[in-house]
Amino acid sequence: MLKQNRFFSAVYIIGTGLAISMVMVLAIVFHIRTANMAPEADRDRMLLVPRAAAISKNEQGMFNSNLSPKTVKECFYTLKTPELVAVGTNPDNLNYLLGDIYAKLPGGTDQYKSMVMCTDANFWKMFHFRFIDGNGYPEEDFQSGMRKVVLTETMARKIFGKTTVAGMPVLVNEVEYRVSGVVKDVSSVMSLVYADIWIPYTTLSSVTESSNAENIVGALQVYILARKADDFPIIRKEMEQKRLLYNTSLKEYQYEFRDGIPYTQKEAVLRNMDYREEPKVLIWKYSLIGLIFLLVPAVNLTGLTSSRMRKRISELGVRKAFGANRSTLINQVLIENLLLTFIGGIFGLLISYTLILGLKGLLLGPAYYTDMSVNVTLAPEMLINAPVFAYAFTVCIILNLFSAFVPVWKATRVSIVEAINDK
Amino acid sequence: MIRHLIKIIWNQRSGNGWIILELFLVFVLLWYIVDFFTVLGVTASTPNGFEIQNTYLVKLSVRQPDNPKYINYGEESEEPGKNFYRIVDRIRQHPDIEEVGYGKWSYPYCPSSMSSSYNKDSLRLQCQILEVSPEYFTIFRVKPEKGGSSQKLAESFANLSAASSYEKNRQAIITQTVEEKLFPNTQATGKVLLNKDDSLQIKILAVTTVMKPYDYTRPAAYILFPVNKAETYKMNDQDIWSYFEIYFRTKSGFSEKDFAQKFKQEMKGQLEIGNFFLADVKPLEAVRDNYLKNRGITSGIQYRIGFSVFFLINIFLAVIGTFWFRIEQRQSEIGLRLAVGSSKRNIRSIMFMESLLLLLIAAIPALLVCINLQKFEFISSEDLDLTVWRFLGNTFITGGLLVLVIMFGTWYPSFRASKVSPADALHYE
Repeated sequence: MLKQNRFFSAVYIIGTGLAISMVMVLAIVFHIRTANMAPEADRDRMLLVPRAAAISKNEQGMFNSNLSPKTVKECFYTLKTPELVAVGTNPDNLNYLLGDIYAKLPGGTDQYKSMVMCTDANFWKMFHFRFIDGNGYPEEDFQSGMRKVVLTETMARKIFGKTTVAGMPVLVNEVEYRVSGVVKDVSSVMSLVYADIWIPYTTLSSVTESSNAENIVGALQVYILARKADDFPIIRKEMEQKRLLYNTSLKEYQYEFRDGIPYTQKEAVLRNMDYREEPKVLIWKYSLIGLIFLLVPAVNLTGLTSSRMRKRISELGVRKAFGANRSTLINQVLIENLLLTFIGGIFGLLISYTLILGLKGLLLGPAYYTDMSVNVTLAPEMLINAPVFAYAFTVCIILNLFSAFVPVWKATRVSIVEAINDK
Repeated sequence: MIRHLIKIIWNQRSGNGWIILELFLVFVLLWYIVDFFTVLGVTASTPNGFEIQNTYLVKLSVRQPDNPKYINYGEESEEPGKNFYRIVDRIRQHPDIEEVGYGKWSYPYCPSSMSSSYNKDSLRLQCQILEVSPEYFTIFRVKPEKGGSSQKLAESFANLSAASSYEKNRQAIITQTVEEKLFPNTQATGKVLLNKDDSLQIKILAVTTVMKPYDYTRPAAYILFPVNKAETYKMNDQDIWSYFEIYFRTKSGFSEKDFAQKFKQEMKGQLEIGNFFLADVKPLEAVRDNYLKNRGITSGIQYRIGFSVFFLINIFLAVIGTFWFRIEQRQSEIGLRLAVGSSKRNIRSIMFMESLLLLLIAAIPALLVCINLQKFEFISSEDLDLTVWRFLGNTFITGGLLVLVIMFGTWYPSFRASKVSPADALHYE
């Protein structure tokens, strides 16, 4: 059947492929940003508190920034329901506080601009890094402000020329730290943990001693790991209680969550596109855009199928005359068409992989204000996996029904006599 | 001929219905995307009000208290401020540098900004505040509204810095946008503005040409104050570092590609003063690229180009596919035409005209939708006013693109069809 009309098949397959690739690019990007992938292996059980709002009681001023260690200690470390609470700094905010950060060997001349994240010790329990050498810094070291550092493989190679460097000294902005461990490089797609270097935030006075708005806001963001996603409502409630209690200890300012905080990973991704809009509204908005994208090629394909059907009307008429009923005919044509759609689907998936690999900086690059060279690496399992195939399959079916059902339904309605007469 | 074509189209209406529907959809969507590029093109062609070629931004770093080399100057020390000006002076000594200046969140494409509301009689306007040294005007070639040199603006600030008191009588330079809004139909120079709560009188020294925050938008309102040097002496390292920046212009005719790198290596030692040290030197062009990237402007352009290409390929496929079939079905008609003396060219032009007519039919309802898109502000008026010209511009570009696509889409099918010999074609009858 495909060979019968090569031209039709080619145009149809390219058309389908294009349509599917566009939708698949959106789907794959969303998948990479929200699915569980090491080191962010439990994204579906996480709640995120990226920002805090501090409103002054006389309504005069407002701070909207990250959180201070004090707020984290009072409102989040004390939570009972979650399995674990960890913190990390926001790269933009840290750059705002410290400027560019450089790492180098003690006594060395070459220094390397590094993206630094300040964390607590729970961070290493919450996220599943692959250590090549050593470990994350333990709780005691974090509490006592020991200058420990975890490096990525690339950074360790740049500074030391090798990766087995646990225990060795390194200068971070001219202050001596000791290497606690070396991890496999992390892709910047892992926006919660991405950095070149991780250090305990207790070692940086600019992070521990923020003083804005009665010390509510600072440079930290909070990650909450629930035992199971069903616990989210309980955790939200507990957070609210802690917040109200915290506010009773404040004089001039009030701590508020605002903008629907805390977010699940999915909500955070959507809020990143437009933080003022409810994630639900955004889902609708983007589905609508996706649908419009499918609509144009669907109309296109419908046009193609219906002109082809007109050519095949006599064939259908003959088959009807020999006793084929309408549903058999519809099924036959739909399945024929589905074959074409699938070939188009595979073609489209390949285009979308090419697009994503070619435009990964644009599609998946992090939106930092800070001028950083980032490493947007994509592992094969991020692209080639069951959910992605399932999305592609669903889109194929929808597109096929869209584009083939109406023309076939119309063509099979023609009476036998008329259909054969057409010849 | 047109009546003839309309008849043909009407007779093939079921097949044409789809292509008209598709042309309609694509017309509207493409029009919407084209509008984005119209705005981009029109705004980019209006001047920014400043020039950034051969200008560089100096990025300093500041040592934190936990750094072993940190020098603690104490609360009241004037030393941090003095160190900052020492750095400016040392850069000024560099032989390749024409001029160096400094300011508070003032360089073009600065990601941070501060603004406040100013008023004149009952008129109020939110203005972005730039605190600059006199050299700002000559470095970025900011010119007076009525023509003249940047030098004149620089002098009006330079003469002032020494004498004027910053407490009650402040003096400022405004951009043309502020003049138009607060002093409609009059000259602002020499007149007085008031700040938000009327506590300060601000005398206007001069008016500059319009200035834009970045290339692809409308001019914004700016008010420029001279940097208050006395105030900087009261600030600590961290505050000076986070508010102030230094910029310079290299000598004219001197534009080396890796100048920033060279400058950095050469000056690194010299510019390590107090707790400040040189972190980076960036050409303003790079600052601009980063600004556009972070505001999503670069990616917005790339996404939209992607979407337009996607639509155009789709419509190309639709036209080529549909015409292929129609022409195959109409072999006998074409044969007949050839037999009665139509030339091959004639056939091709009939096919082309037919599809153009289809586009025209689809364009009528599509334009109605587009008019409403504009009327109800589904397209943004933030960067460019919603004028008739904008509508017409979009419409012509959209129409032109679609005509091109249709030309390519009908060419091959009709070329093949017209090559059939009349006898073969008529044989179908």
